[in-house]
Amino acid sequence: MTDPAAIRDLPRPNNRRWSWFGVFALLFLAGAQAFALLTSPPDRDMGDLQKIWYVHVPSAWMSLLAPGAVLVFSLRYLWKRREGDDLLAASAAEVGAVFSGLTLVLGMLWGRPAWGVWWVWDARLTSMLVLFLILVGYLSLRAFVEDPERRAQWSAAVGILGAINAPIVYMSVKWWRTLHQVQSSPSTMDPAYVLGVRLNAFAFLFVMIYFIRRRYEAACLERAAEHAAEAVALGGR
Amino acid sequence: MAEQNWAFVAAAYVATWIMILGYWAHVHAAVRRARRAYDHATAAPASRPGEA
Repeated sequence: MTDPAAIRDLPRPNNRRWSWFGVFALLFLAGAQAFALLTSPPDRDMGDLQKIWYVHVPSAWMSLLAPGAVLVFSLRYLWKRREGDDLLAASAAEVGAVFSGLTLVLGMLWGRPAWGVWWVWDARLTSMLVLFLILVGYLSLRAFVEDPERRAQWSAAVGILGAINAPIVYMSVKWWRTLHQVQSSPSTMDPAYVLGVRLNAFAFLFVMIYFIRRRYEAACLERAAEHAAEAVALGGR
Repeated sequence: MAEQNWAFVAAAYVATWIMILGYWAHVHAAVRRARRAYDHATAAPASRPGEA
């Protein structure tokens, strides 16, 4: 038996505030990219290839944040059994899969000119690929399990286990000898690039929050429609 | 070499925007589809013949 939490959590229709937030996030992203591209000097060693940082690094950070959100919502679901938390975890997982996929693509576009290869099985790249596959597996699991309660429980377990991989991805460049450089952060990069990376990180964060919120809205509506259909079916007997 | 690098930089930004705008369109389509399904499900009892 499902509880009607999805109906209680249903976002208000025509929520213009979130639509405006989405427009703001896109404009902020465009502005941050323009600022970074136009103001940052070429790197001494990498030249203009350094400009890939402004999309690759924020995308990688979002790939690590999203599993953190999956972990938090999955734990909260197992604790409170609130259906909205399950839907939030699923939304974060889908968005995380998109960003980790993008991170891999951008990494390859960086690797070819910088290292001479599209792909190498080093610890950072491999662990990021594993993270991507875990998130895809999480979404596949949800697609195959029909019972909402069982689906929520199983995917919460996978989400919690999968989130363990995020710190492994982050620490992989320290724990193993890798071709990938150490973690990119304001402390490891030239001050000329810090503001551009920060602005783009916030832009990616805003876009990710917007995506998760919209995906959650769709998931709530889907569940509410299922609840309504169930109620009609039971009432019609 | 520098021009080749710019090709990779351009490809990275194009890939980013394709992903973001593509997923944007996907999510909005999902919301529209779900809202239609919800409206249909909640309107169903009233539209069924023979029911009060």
